[in-house]
Amino acid sequence: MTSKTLLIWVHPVPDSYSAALRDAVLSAMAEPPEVIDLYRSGFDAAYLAGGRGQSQNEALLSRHKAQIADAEELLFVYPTWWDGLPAIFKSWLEQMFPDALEHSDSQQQARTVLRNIKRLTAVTTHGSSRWVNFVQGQAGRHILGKSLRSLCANGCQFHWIALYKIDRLSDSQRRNFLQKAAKKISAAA
Amino acid sequence: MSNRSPTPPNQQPLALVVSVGVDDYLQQLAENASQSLQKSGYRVELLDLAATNYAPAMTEADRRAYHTEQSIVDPLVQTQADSVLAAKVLVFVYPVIWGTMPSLLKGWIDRTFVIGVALILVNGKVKRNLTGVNHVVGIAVSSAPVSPAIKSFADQGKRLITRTIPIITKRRAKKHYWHHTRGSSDADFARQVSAALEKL
Repeated sequence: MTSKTLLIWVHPVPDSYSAALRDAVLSAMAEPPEVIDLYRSGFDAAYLAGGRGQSQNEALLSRHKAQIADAEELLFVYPTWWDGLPAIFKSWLEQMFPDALEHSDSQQQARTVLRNIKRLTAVTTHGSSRWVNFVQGQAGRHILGKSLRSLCANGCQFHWIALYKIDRLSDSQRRNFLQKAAKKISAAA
Repeated sequence: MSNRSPTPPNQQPLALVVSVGVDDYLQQLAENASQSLQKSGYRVELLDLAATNYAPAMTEADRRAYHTEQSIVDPLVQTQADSVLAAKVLVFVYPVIWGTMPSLLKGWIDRTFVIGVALILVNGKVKRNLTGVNHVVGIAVSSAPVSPAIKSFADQGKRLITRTIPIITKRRAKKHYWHHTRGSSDADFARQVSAALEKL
């Protein structure tokens, strides 16, 4: 049985390597998932500045919450920058589930939306090496694999598919990773 | 008694305070940090991202420029990058949101700490470029204790400030990090941080 997947893609450049990674992942999936292209969805990341963005994002976030509530798997494809999520991705989490780690009421609201999510998958790229990222603390991995996962269904699985040292790899090594990521997605289905 | 005259303000070393002042307490902490650093002899630039309508998301133009010689395309980002390059002290004051620094500050780092500012390429190898920075300071405030049910860390931003950013600053630059959870000891924390920064 295949689970219903929502793919969230985060990259500002439409013809980037990240776009190729998204396409490789999509090609490996038996059922075409729903896709949120966060950069081109009209989402405003600058909400903290005097409440700006929050009302503009309201309808969009309601749609995204409905899509999440209807899914069983969230699959994120994004670049890791400065050891963490791109700001727009972090802002999306902050606005979708405000105070979800800090206050029990907010936590409960987040769990209501995420209660059907049984698997989280992150497909990401890093400029630095695996070792450097380990020393830096892997903030991006922790926020998805620990913080977000703690709000999902009991026993929710977390898969981490990551490419390191992307700027120092050859074209063929990058192409190999596209295949490797697709294979892992296919195997996990 | 010393006969030395005070250093003219334009010759004082620069301290850049980057804050996300979403409430009075955080604004006060950033203001206190600025005053303490001025007492220590620094010229201070205070940048409050929450008050300046800062757009944190790296844009398509930002990203396309990232690997080019002109790696910054936004004049506002260029002005702030010039301050980073001139700074001897970098201070980050922020609320902890989702277990780490808020997206506004993360976005500021993503857009400002680019090739040519934070790092340079020498014969294809990445080298540190903020070699004038002697101190990196983090002042983080959580609104409530993180629930034990959430197996997260108090602040992942700490690692960015104390481990990642020192990779690009002067070798053995001093790292200072203070985390506080809002409560009855708010005033004590503000005093302790101010006192510590006055000795910087």
